Amino acid sequence: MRSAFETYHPAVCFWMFVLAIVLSMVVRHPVYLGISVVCAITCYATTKGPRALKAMSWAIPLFFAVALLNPIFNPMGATVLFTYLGGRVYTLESLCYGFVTAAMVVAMFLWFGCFNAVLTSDKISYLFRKIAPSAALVLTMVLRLVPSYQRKTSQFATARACIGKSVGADTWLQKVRNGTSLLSMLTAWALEGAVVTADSMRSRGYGLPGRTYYSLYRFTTRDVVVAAVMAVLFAGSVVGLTVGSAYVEFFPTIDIPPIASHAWLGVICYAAFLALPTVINLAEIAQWRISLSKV
Amino acid sequence: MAHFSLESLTFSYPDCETPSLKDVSLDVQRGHYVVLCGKSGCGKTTLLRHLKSVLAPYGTISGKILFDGVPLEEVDQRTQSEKIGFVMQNPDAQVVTDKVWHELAFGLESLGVDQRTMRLRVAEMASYFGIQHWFDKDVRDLSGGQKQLLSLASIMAMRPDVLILDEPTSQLDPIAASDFLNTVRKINIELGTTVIVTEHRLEDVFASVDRVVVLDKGEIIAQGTPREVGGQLYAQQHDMTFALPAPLRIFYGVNDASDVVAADAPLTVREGRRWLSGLFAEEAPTVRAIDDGSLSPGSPAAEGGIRPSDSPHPDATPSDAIAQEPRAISKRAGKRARGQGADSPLAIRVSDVWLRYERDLPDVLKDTSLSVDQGTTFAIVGGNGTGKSTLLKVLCASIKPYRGTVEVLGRNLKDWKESELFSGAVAMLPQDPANLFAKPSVREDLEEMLPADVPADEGQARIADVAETCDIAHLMDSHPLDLSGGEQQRAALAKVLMCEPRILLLDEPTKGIDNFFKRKLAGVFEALKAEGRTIVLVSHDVEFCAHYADSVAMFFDGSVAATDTPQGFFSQASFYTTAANRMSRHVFDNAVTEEDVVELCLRNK
Repeated sequence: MRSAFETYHPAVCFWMFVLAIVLSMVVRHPVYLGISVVCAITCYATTKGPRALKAMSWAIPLFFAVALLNPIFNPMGATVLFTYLGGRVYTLESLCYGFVTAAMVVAMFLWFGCFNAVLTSDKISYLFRKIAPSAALVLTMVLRLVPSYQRKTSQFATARACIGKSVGADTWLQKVRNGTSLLSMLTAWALEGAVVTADSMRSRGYGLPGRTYYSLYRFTTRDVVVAAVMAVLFAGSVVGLTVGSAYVEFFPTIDIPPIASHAWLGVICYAAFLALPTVINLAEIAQWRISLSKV
Repeated sequence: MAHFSLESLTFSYPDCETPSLKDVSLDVQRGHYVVLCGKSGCGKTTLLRHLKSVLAPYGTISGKILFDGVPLEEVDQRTQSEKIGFVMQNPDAQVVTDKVWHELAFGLESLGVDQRTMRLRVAEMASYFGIQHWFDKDVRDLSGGQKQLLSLASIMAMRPDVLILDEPTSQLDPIAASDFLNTVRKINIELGTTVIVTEHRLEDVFASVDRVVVLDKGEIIAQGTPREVGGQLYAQQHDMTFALPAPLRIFYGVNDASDVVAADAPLTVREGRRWLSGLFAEEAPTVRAIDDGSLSPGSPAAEGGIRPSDSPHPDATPSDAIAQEPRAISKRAGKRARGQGADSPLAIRVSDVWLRYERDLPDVLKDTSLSVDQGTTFAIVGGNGTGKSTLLKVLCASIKPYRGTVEVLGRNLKDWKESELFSGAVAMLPQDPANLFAKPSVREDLEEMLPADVPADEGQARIADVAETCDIAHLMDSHPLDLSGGEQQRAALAKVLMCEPRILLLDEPTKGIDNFFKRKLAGVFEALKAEGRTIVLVSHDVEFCAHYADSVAMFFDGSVAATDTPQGFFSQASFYTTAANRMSRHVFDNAVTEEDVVELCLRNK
């Protein structure tokens, strides 16, 4: 499933997600974090399809774990809910801070998930081609090799099983021995393959000066437009944050001031920025529906 | 001026006394299609690697290598990368990146070609090779043949003048191999690129090349046009004649090399048919069929009948078997030693097996049934993806069918415990024999297979026995991955035999090995069958099965389509049969191997 935002230039997508992660990391205000989590969920759902959200369902137990465990590590706060283990306090403020921190962690994970879904290996290699060309190539090669090594290891295991040297159903020492054998077989095979790959690379001129890069991506007008919108909204959010609209206090008592009228603009910019990928994806779906209904 | 010119090239690897290349002098003309052939280890790869400086091995070298008249050392790396393309044997390791488009552009990126030219060349190459449909795919989703084609396209995008290919089809199945070689031929004809190929499968290339060069132990023993080389090899009575295509072998089997003009020799099945018709133009042949004296062709050997047997001498070693004429080794319905009498249980019986990997995937095995007698070689042939390898996995209890039964040595496979099954009943040699090696020397690999309770000297005796059977006694201290393809195959077979299995399962045992090792392997099979073991092999190699199998089963669409002796099977098939059969079916009834055709021709003269 290809969402609309994926088709934009990789640099646009990259900066979108990096800034979203940054914006989620710096605030502790529940309203802001709530917006961030919601936008991350909708972005993920519109990128990979609503069914893919099941893969993110581990975020719910994570959320509660972080929230409920926070007061155990942080006994500050005025309102005590109960005491445990002889004297330690479990405070309300700490619990609320825990919830807020949990929301931040979940938001970051979700944004990273979106990052992963949209920015594939070749896009990342493309982005870093000038800054770190060898690193970009190594990334490409690693991405080729890892699944190949996994497949080869299972081939080794099957082959050994068919001559009676299987990994399972043995004493613990046998299992370790068999595992080590597999590892050494994989290493030997990998090294042999690496020699061939190195020959293949040098034979095609790798190492010659003046290496260029094949680019699949063009920076088009719509990329310019979206980048400009992103810049404006991000600036607005930063201004709003510096003005203090995200100011919260948890210790010793909870103090979440209502958002001042002048700060609402900051919140709106923040929300609009984070909702941008979702809006782009939904707009494309709407556009298709409309155009198909005309047929 | 020749494109490549080698003058008295002599090369030896470090610490090696015998030179790998001895006084090799060769001229490759522009635009020629040259094939280099020879036994495994004769120096073909060493010679090819010298044609490109970055790939040349270290060692002592004397003599000259000239590329377009200029010594190769003086040609800079940029020119060499651009003008000399090199395709290697291993389709997986050769590919560098993870995406098809990136691989196509890799060489051009390295050469620093600008964006516009790169886009044009990549687009052009992808279209020429028909790759445009998988342009966006990941490399790991491609088959071996596609990967090899991708490597070729990636190199051709750099517009080389010379294309050097080192055994490019050895890891591919026959159809992919044939597609690949056709593409190479297309490149030579349409683009005029000079092509130098190393091949074991000479049937595909022999008719299309301009020149053949034959190497043996580092020296050139024959070179010239294909027909000239055929004549030269037969005049020398050299071993390499066994690697030549069937029509040539039949021609020289019927005629003496000194009696005929080499230019008359047929190279393809078409020419062979014409020649054979010409031979019997005046009078039709009186003897039209090989008479085996027992079974008539067409009766399924799988039903099991006692055949009159010529048991080989119990002390016969594989070298004795090889020293005999190939005809004696080759399959004759009715001259096979039977391990036990007819009332011994079948080695394997598969009844109505259905299998699929996951619930919503289609069935891989559909209503498969077959039976294998003890002490026979049972070959399963069929195209890619028909389920042959899966059947082998079922036989060694790797995966379980959801319907049907499998009986091994009379007992249901479910009743066998895993430890019991692999210590004396069944063992499998995988498609890639290197998957079995876990230790730094062959000896240690074999020692790994000894059970813990066996005393040392008995263990060593067993190892020596197995090494003798598989003819690897001289390789015991080498690293398994340093061995050539055929040697690795035999070493892996030795390791499998250490389990002392009664049934040996082999998945593509002849992949990537030359005809000499195939004959050695067949000799090993004979020795094993003399001990009463059963061999089940899955193969694409129709010629090998025709020569050395006792029964052949064709696998198609998840089940066995037909089972018969090679004689019966291949004489009834029109396409899926040996070259000798295709060449002679209009004259003789059931000639399947080259030896059959030669025998019938001589009988009729």
